[in-house]
Amino acid sequence: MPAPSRASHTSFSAVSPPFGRTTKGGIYQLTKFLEKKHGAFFISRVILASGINLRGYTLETVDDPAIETKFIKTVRNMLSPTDMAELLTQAPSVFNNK
Amino acid sequence: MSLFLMSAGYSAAEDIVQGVRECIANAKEKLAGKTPKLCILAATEEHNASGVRDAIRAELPGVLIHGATTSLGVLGRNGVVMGSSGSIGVLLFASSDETAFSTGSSDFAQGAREAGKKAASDIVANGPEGKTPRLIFIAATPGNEEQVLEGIHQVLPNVPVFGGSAADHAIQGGWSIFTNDDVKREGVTLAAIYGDEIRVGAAIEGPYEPTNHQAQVTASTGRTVKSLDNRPATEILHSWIGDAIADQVREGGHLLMQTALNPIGIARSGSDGKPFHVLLHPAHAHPEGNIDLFAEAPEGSTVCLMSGTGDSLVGIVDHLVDKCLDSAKLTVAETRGAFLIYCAGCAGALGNRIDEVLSRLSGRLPDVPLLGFCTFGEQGHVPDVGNVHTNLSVALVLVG
Repeated sequence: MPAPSRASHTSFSAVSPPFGRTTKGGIYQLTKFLEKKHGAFFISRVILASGINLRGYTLETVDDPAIETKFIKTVRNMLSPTDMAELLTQAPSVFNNK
Repeated sequence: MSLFLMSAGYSAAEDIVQGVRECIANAKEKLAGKTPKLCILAATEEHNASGVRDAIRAELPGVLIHGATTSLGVLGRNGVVMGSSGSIGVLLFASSDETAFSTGSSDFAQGAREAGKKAASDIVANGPEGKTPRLIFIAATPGNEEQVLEGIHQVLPNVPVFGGSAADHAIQGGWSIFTNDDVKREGVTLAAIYGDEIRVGAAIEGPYEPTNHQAQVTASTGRTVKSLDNRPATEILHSWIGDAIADQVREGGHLLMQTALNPIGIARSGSDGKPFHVLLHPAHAHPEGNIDLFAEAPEGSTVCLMSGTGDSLVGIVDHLVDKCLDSAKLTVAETRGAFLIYCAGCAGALGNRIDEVLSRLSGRLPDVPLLGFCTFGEQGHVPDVGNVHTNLSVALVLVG
């Protein structure tokens, strides 16, 4: 299979709710916060590094734990500890399980 | 009297029509009232590709269109242009009759090699009779660029081909190419420039040096390497790069950022005393040990780990400017425009330092219009090697 090609990998676009989780919009809020502080180019870089299609997220998107973990790991590698600590205050629900 | 002008415009407007109008208005301001003949178009995946192309067609009736979606954002003279709803950029070419343009395109329905042949045949059919293009711009969707180049070579051997592969942000197939006739999700578009009076300087390079880590490709299929030195490919790469890719090796995942300063390369002969390395960017690791690349790694070939730094990713543009000006015997004052291809993996790894790349380029080429793409594969002509598809590379075309 030639790679990478269209739809050759798992898609991390907005997903259906995982069983037992009800929090919504956390990743969206963090994305908006990061975009306001670091710019739209930064969000493009997070999408490229993580494969999570953050532009498809809304306040209604359920925060899938697997995607939360991937998101946090990615931005942790891209932010200073100070910026990461500031981000943590924005959506505690996303970080509670990390 | 012969005339040749280029101009660029960009927009991060939320609305597609407004964005296109801003781009065209900014670019047309510098065309001194001349009607453009060719529009090279860049846009990010947030914008509906058909909507962008339709808006360009409405603003520029009769003008040839060629382009692709860019990852991360549009590269402009003053930095990356990107808004929360995407961005658009154009590079317009206007000229008197001594300079001509033609376009060609194809989908991959008959295969990538046939697509390259068909698009190149279009270039010939639509171009001035009996003339050979000075240079061909290419934009193809990712996956089969080597075969596309082979097809072009069959029709137009020895014509330098420069460009980059269409890209999205998430590597999920959100890319498109803009052809003169439509938008394609899979295919190739070409734009040729003709003229004895223009000077064209073009170069492609990767900002890396080879290391002593080497291995033989012992199993591969297309762009997937299964084993190196008869061991799982991820195991070898892990031993070379270290625990920065430990999670991806164990669980599978994207490798783009982690390998942006350490891709692998295959040495090809070059003309200036040292081998040209075709660069292969590890894109994705699979738990079973396979690695997906953005270019082919044939079985039996020897790959080596390459090494670069943030400074080498920035500084490469100086070298490219020198090469382009020297090869075209062009001065900065004579340069009418610049077309930049910058690997999305490099740009992603550089982060905000991509603005250093663009300010350095603008400093070297004051007042020269520029449009740049962040791509998922780079194509260019290497002396004594030919047209190549490579990764993690930077290509520059200067025209004057």
